[in-house]
Amino acid sequence: MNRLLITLSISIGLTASLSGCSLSNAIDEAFTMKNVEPWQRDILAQDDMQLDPDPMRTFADEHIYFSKEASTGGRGVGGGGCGCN
Amino acid sequence: MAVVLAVADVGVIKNMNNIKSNLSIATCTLLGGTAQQANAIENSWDLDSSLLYYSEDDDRVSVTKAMAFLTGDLSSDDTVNVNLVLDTMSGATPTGAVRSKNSSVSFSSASGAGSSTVDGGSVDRVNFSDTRLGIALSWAHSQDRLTTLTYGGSLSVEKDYQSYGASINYSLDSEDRLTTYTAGFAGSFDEIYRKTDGTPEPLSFVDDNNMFSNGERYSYDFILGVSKVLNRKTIGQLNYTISYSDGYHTDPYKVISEASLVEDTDTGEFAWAELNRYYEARPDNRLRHVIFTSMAHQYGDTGETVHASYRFYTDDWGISSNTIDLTHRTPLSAKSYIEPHFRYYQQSAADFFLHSFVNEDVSTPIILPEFASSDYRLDEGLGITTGIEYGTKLSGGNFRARIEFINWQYEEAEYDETKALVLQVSYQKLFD
Repeated sequence: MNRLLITLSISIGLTASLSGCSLSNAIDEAFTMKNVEPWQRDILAQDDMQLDPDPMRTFADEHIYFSKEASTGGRGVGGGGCGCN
Repeated sequence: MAVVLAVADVGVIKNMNNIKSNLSIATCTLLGGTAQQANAIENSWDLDSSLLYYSEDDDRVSVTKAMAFLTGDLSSDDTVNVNLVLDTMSGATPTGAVRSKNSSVSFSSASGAGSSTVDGGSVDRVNFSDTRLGIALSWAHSQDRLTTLTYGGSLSVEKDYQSYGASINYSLDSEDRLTTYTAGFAGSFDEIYRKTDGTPEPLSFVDDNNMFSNGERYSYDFILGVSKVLNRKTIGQLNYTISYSDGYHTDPYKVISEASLVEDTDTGEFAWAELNRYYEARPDNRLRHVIFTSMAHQYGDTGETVHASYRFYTDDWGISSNTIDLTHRTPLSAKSYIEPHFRYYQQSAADFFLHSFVNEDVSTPIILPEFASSDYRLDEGLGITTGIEYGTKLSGGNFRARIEFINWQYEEAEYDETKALVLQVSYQKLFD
């Protein structure tokens, strides 16, 4: 379990250091509700701003976690099952 | 003027292709369209292909996954997706039995590697090999400016498992196109069996080899969701899913040991001694609830993007879980990016999970419960994923490569840790 906690700490530290901004400012900016006019949707139209920017990666990850964990689902419905080991 | 502003915000214009791309996005923006529509104007078809390698340490499961996703527009109102997946799996997987030194039980290996008889050694894990072919098709049709119906079908075939599914999803945009409501239904039929056909009698002695017919399971999923643009740089999503499945849920290869702890006279340490081995038994239905929320947010002058999601899961087997997923994309240039990934997963154990049937008085037969499984995946556990992806635009396409490390730890299972490495390279070809 200690190794897991160390991994967790390193991961959070890596993510935080790469973000380069304070978390509270980012949260404030992210959750402030503002109307968006049609001509202001350039950023929202970018590929990396889609809720699932890489469906192929998501598909692969969901298969891995479905095979190794007891819970699954949430993003959508449909798709085939498997008898994974 | 609005067109000029929108184009200027998209990025630096370096060549005619970028001009075309940006004008497409700007035009679509003025029409209230989405990114997918903007891409559709520029590229009516794209082919995403990928090769993934998954490997667990200690010579356990190894999987090579090849994927090809084709997406294209048949008309201005119709989009189709064709997804093909080929998995090649091999390695060793835990059976659920204890690691005993005195076992003398026959056991057939998982997914068709034949039968192996163990004499005086452990059969707590068995070798397997299998190939899975998965095909999924979907067709999205715009009913009008705000509503879309998507029909889907899927097929998955292995040596010992077949799955057939169908789905329908409805989405409705608000008049300002800042909110999208979705509802979807999916049904599937799975047939489960050992490679040698049939399924073992639940909680029967493995040595007796009592076989029933193939297992069948019907599953139904219903989802309601809403996604909303919160501001110019943030979009969020909230989904609720309820799923019910009825039929065979047991793993036909998993077993559970009747065992006692004995002291090694030489070392003084205690070890499991297996007395009997039974096939596992799980309930024949399962009701699941899932709440899933996610968001994408861009900030900073260089356009750094954060994706965050949280999932709460609960079911009537007693399992509940919490999942947090974070990615942070940092542009390295106008064409490339780097993206660290972190995932946290925690689950409680199923009500019927047992390490083994502990019997300290071998002269007394144990009383078997209605359901029991020692599958480590049903144990209380914690999983941590850390990884990083690099992506870059190439001529006519997008290249991505990632490496991830996954570590699962379980509380009571005989195999209480799984470490895995994931490598994936992908290339998306865009057709003008």
